[in-house]
Amino acid sequence: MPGPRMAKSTRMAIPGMITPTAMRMITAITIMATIITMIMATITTTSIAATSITTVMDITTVMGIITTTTPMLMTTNEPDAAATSGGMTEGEAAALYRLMTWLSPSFPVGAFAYSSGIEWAVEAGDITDATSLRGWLSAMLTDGSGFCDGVFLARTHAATSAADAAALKHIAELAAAFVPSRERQLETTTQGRAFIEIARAAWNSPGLDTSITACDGPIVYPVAVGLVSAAHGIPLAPALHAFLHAVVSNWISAGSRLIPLGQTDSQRVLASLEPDVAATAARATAASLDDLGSATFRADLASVRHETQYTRLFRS
Amino acid sequence: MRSGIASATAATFAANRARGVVRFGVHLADGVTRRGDLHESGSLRVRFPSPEDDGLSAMFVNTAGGIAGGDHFDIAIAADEGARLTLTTAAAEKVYRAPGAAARLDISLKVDEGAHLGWLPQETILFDRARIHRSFEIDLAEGASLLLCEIVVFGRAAMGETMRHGEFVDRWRMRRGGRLVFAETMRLDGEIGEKLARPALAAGGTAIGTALIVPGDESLVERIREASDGFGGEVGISAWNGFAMARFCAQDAARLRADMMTVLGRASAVPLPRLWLN
Repeated sequence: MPGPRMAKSTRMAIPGMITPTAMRMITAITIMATIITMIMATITTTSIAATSITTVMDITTVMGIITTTTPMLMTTNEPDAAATSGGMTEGEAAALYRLMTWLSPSFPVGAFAYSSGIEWAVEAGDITDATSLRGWLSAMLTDGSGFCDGVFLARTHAATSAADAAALKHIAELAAAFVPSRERQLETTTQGRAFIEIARAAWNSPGLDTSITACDGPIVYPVAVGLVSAAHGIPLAPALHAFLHAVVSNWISAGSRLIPLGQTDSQRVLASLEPDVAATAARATAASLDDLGSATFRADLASVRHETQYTRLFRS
Repeated sequence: MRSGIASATAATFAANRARGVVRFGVHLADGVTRRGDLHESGSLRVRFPSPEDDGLSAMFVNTAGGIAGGDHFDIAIAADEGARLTLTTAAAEKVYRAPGAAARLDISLKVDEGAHLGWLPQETILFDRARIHRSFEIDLAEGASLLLCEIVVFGRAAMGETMRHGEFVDRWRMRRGGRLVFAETMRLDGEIGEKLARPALAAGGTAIGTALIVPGDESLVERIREASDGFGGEVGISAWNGFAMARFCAQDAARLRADMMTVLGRASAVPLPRLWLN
């Protein structure tokens, strides 16, 4: 437990990158982006253009991670599976395909309905443009719920991979209680529940149900993503990066609709937060539950005060 | 030679670190709340002022005059079935600069069925380069009642002092009927002054506060929100998992204290400790 669906060799991220392969990789990315954008276009009914842009960002971000986490160069002349399939093993391709699906804005967990208090911060004048949005989100990532959710995802991934039922129960309970307001609880609980339900219905894998049962209570969003990724044998690094990317993209999407902000400015904010995501992921990976901690008092206050906001587009 | 002096100083410093323990329980006897055995040691003391109509009052006195690096205080309070106890402090608690280890403050509160606990200390003031790790473990029976407040002030703004560096770790875990209903760890370290200036943190505010009210629901939240117009700082209140939480952030301690008194006044019919009104 959990029995990964992928072949064993594919669970190790050994991309073996060399320059010619990198060129093929770019081609592969383009083809993949086209295919997945087409799939998404059939699923989503709104914001097809926005989805496409985000999809491309998804690919570049996730691929960047996969190719850089194990900087192992190929030194032999023997053709390997990765090189012949365009620089990606079968398992990496499967991991990419699944993460892009699960953490795409069109995956039906309802992420678009939540702003994590950003709606109040815009109303109160704390967020007025791309610069103030970036500053607010950088703090939420490094000193707020971004980092804490990253820790919950990483610890859940480890506990699921080790089939440690007691640890899973402990993490799930702590993560569910670790919210600063009623609306943040709603946000993380409903998304987590939806993620688990869809995984069971459409993306099941051996061991998934056992891990879900071990949680013995509500499964919040980061715990759900960590659990399902591990059950599919997807390594932590790409899962965590894809999750943080999805969270940040959703915050930006909310902010850009509320401020409002143009698509190019939104992309600039997302691009500028790439190092923050990488640093937060690295800290979250190394952290234990004792290292949890946040200091975003006013971002938390914003999620509380949002409850009283008179006109609102978002549920949090 | 220098290092010899330094290590001797460190050793002297370590030997002088305060260790304080206060442990006691209260119970109901003939309809009146009585104190059980009291365990007190070190610089932390507790006094029981003249009995009041509504349960027992207790007041902490830190005879060391403040908390310094390496200090360790342990507080464990239990209110048995039906008992009523309100705790406060004689003065604001000051946490001084810590050159070595961080200070530790471990607080455990246990409240039984039908019992009420009020934890209403005055504010904690962190001096520049202060380092403290606090932990609150709160264990409530399903039918227990809790009114709790904590105010943390980063530097004494009124004295022209600011907290620029340091470490503040505040770990909260609250169980109700055995179930974890609220967990949080606040963690602020390094360049605290710069961090507090960020809008998502405190936007330059120097005081933060939390109030926990159990049981707490939407009607309580509405009652407190009616006072919103009078708040001097930022206040938000929310209820979930059967409790209500109010959050505060203000430019200075005085404003936050006034807002806290408004919220506590609306949250409970029990009057605030008289020390609060000074």
